[in-house]
Amino acid sequence: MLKNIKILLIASLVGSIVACGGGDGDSHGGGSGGSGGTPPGPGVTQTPAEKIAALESSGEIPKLERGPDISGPDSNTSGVRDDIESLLAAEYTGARLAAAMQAARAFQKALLVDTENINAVKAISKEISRGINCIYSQFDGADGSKQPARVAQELESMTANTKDRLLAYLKYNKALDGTSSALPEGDTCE
Amino acid sequence: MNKILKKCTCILLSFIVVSTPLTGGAQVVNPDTNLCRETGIAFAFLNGVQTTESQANRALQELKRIHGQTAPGGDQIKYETLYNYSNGFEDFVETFEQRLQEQEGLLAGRYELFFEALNGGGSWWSSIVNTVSAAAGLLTGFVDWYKSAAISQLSSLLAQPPTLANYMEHQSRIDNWILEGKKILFVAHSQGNLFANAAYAYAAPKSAAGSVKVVHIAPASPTLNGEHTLADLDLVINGLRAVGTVASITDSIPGYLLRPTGVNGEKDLLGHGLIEIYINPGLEISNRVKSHITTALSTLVAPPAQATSGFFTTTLTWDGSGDVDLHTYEPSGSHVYYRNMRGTSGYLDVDNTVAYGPEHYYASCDSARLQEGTYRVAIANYARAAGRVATVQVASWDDGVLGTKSVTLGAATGDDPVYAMFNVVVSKNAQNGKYSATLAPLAP
Repeated sequence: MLKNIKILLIASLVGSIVACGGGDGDSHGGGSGGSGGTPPGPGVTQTPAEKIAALESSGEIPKLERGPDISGPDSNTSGVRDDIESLLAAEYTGARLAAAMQAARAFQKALLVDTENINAVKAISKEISRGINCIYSQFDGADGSKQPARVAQELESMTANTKDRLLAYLKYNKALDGTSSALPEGDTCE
Repeated sequence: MNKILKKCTCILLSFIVVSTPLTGGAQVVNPDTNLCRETGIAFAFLNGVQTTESQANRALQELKRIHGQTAPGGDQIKYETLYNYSNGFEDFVETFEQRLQEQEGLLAGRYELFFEALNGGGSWWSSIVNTVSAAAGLLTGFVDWYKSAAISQLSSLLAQPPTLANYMEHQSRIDNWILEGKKILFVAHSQGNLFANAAYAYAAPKSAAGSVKVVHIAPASPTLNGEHTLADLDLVINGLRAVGTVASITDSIPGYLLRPTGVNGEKDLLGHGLIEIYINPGLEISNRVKSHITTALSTLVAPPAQATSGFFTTTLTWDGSGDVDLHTYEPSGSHVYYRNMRGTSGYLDVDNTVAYGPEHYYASCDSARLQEGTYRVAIANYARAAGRVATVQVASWDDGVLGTKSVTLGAATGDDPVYAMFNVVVSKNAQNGKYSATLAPLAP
């Protein structure tokens, strides 16, 4: 009983402290918009929507394309949506960029695969697995770089960034229910 | 041996003979031409609730970072996922959409926040909440709802536990590990424990004592087949405790505000995440999990092997009595089956003429023997197997299972393999010299 009360108290505390934000809350008006974005001039109040936009501009949260089609624009036919490619190019270089692009390309295929064709679904799963394995070979969290788990999670989330894309991605995962796969070995970077 | 003679012999011996390892057997491969890494332990991860296959893959990568490729006793480890999808996962999107509409649609349409929200937030959510405090209510509201939904989902699963009959590919994979004499370690998180218990119940009686072990992490089941770890502030399992019996708490973890993030940058408000809590190197509880896995890896007992691992393998099983035959047509034209057990690239090293199987073909790991090209895999009801469901699984040493397929057999056709099951293409990458095995469509 005491434990349950403790849990509830902690949960409430978390909620309230998170709500305080530890920074400039929107209720004040005229805040700095957090640590990112263009600071408003004196006396200028940013709306919450403007603050979110500022976070996008600063790169603290990704600015993503949200069109109605699942595939989205890929003007250079790289296999990666233009907005994601642009974000990756801004953040990574060299082998790390290549690894992130490889995994992003595989995640994108998961949205479009015929989920009735289990062999095709499993083939995409292996591509994603090889892409993630490549990320794990290029990112180690040392020297201030991101941990590979975080890199891969961001790619997964950015790919499934609209309702239709998220549902398509979950449908792909559902098709893999009950399957088995192995971590690939060796250099899987393309 | 003549099939009829073999059949008669096997009928006479049917009470004592199940499967026959054949002489094509153990391969000795020159290290310079060996395409495979010989592994003695199958490290099988069974994921938790609301987990994508990629997330399960990442969790396994993290476990590999912790435990490496070599067990304390020197065995090489192969890491594999036995994936399960949470029924109704997609329904969570609807609730998330409703939450995003709150606060005058402040975050409407931002579905990239979905997976972070399932873990109670992450760096993106932190940035948003730190800037627009009202967004915190969206997140905590969703997390509260998600906790209840996850508990309800796990309760339903506990009431109707999964059976391996519904997970044919897992079952066939386990059969193959046992056949090839692998030590098996099931490492399960959350709802994966229900599947691990079913897998253990299937594997343990078939294998030697001590050759199959389970490590339970945040078990969503009171049934345990090995050591377990459970955090006191795991709110999901605590929720299950309120409606039934769960395993005992083993460790205290700090409250949310005091927790270090896991390697994915998240803390998990619910205290249930594998990466965020249980293998988070910043939390003491991770030492218990690591210790359990290390101990299990070092104490697994090697079972006898009936078959040889290969660059790729094909395993045939069926669901009753009868004689079903595995046929492989190699790129050279060699037809490998019970009458011709040695091909150009591979061998039929296990034959069964009585019941259930298995039959097993392996392609050599020796690049001097392994041919590039298409291997056609087919099966025949040689005799007495009409109506049986026969299952063939193809797996490569590198990628694990490539495909699993079942057919219901018709009338006996003797040596004519009328059921085409898989085309396996072995190819060599011209740039890096690496060989791979993939599936190709069957001819119409």
